[in-house]
Amino acid sequence: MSEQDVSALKTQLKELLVAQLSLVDVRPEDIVDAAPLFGEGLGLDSLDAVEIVVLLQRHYGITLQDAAMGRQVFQSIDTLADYIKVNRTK
Amino acid sequence: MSERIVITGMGCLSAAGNDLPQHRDSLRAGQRACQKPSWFTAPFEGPVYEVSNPAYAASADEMRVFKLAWKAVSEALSQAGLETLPTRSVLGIFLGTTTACQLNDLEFQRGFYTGGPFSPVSPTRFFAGNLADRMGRRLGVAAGPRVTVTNACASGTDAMGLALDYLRSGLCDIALAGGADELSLVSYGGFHSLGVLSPEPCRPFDKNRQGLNLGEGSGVLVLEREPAARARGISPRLFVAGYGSASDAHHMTAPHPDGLGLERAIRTALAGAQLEERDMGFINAHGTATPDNDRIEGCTLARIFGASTPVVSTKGYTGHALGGVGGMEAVFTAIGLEEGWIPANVGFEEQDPDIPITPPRQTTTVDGKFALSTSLAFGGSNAALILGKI
Amino acid sequence: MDILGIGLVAHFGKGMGALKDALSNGVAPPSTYRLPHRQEISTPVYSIPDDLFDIPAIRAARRANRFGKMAMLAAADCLESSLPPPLDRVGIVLATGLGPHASNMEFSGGLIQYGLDQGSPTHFSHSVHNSAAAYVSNMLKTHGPATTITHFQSAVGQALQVAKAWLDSGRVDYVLLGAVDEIGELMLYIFHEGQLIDKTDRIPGEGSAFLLLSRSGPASSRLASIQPMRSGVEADLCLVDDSSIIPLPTPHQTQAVATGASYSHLWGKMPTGYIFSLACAALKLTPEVQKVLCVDKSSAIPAMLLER
Repeated sequence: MSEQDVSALKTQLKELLVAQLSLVDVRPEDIVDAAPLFGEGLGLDSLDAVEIVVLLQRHYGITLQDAAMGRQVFQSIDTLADYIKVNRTK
Repeated sequence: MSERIVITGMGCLSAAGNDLPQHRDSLRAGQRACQKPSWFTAPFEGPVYEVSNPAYAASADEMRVFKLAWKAVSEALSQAGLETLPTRSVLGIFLGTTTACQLNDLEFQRGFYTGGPFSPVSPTRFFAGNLADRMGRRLGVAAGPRVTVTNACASGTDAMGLALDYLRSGLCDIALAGGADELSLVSYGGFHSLGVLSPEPCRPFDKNRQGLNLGEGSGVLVLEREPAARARGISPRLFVAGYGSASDAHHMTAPHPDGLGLERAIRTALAGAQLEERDMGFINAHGTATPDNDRIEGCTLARIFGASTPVVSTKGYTGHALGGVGGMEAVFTAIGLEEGWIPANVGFEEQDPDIPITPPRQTTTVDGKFALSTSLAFGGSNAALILGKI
Repeated sequence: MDILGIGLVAHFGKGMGALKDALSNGVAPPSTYRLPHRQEISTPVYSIPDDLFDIPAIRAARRANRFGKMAMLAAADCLESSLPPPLDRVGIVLATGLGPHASNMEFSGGLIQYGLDQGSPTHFSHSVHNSAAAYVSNMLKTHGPATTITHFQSAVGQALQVAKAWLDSGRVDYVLLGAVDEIGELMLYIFHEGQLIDKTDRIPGEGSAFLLLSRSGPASSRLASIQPMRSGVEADLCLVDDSSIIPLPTPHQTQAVATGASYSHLWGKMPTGYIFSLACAALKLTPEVQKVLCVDKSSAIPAMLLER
């Protein structure tokens, strides 16, 4: 995947997060790639986490069932993009 | 204290049995009866607790959930000697449910999407099916409160709490109270989407629990004011001592991390019953076997009652029957209290170091004059019901 | 019981001022709703303008569905209209006919579109009927009991009985009693195909209203008292609610024979529209009109009498 593709993937991810998680007062371009998504940072919670699981499934064909794995993957836009790059099936 | 509200009849239907005697046997024997869903398939694992008798299948004019409810209602009324209702008594019907109030029909919806012809069957059945209202009509009783309670997984317990307040306020003389729900593919997909459906038989309070299994069925109590029950020759052995309900005001799906709503519901029930923590002989916990519920509920119960008060989850016998399960668990609490035993907490093997309670691994003798049953729900609803021995 | 405050939102706007306006001047014409999945079907509806939802409390509840938002808006309006009650003595009773059916449909629509393993957990968790009560209790930070009552025709009348039972038994000192029903595509389809609506006088509506109730107290502190009609009482005015959209199954004794003014056309057809008629009844009380009877035409529950 080229650097350009990775950047496009991250932009798409941010747009999906803002739309699917109904984030208010957050624009996709405000989300910092390396910033934590949960807790401080974007302030996402447990219901967002399972919503992201479905988002990965619907948009990238990735099935992620293991909660411990989820915690690693969902740290930031960077970690999400890295995981999608390697595991996407669509 | 005002007149006691006594239990004069009970009925129960679940995968663990068709009636009270069968439930008693299944629970005493520690037998669980979950299986792969038989009438739908899904691309994921998750055993369910089905009521397999085809007599309860939905018909053109009646939802499955109503048929499930009717069975427990009939049993409870018969046990109470109320096959014929006394004239001039106002019968209140209080039933909790989720599925009876939702049009869950994927085929109907698919037909809508694809431009197929309008099929009136499921809408007609749905609109004929307000649970409490239809129950009243089925019983041929025109007047009286008909309350269908829709507080998600706390519905059944809250329905009994309402019945208690209505009886005390004189708004009815006899109450049928409990809940019923049917297994639905929509609920099944829903709990899967939340990541809380266990791929294996559920293990409430166990260290390695992976989530809940869904179940279905009904549980119903007949409640009356004590003098009225005695006047018609009944010698009740149990009564409803107290009820409390409280909101977390915290989150749609996650319980309050310190169980504050649950604690408030329990303390309200204790105060209403003029009882103290040590009066509880045992507790029938919500214990769904999701990682969060069991940790928070277990810690909250231990904080209030100490780690040695016996606590059992019966979800390993019935699965989580959502709006119906509060009714079932009130029945199990009543049986345990009356007979002095609680069943093995099926599925519990390994102690979770984060949970300070240890549910029984075998059928266990208990004593005490009172017992508590708890329910927690989406939306942060918490309900606590205390039953007492006369 | 006493009514201490009333808040509401419907097609005509938010608050008792907007209702008063609608009573005097009528309402804007309904909008046309074309079913997104069945473009050949369209129907007039009385829906709530989206801009009303743009308040901080609702923005803070980012995931709330329309059902929850309408309830939050009406509950907040209700508390603004009265002295704030001690929140630890407040219970919430919510009446609905159909619950959040649009969220329910969105969830099952996801199952159909993407597969049974790919439903949205947010839609699922918001499809429970008590989601609106949960949003209200979360917004107000009330920790008392909250219960939701579902009935196609008589939910408001039943909720009033729950409020009475809670107040009489001392469970709470105040009840925030709300009603909410929403417009949604699949239900509109059923109403349309089941010929429950037509384009002239059976126009579906949506909205929410809340009453703040307490046990009877001094007349000075209340907007009105509310209780079931007693025999031998003469009302000065009778309002007949005709909001119900789903016919009662027979046999049922209803109040269908009552005659009087009906304002249901101001908010449209919805299962819990009776609560708006109760709000109208409160507005109709004057020194000359001391007693207003408010009848729910479709319900088997006794009519309510509002008094100054």
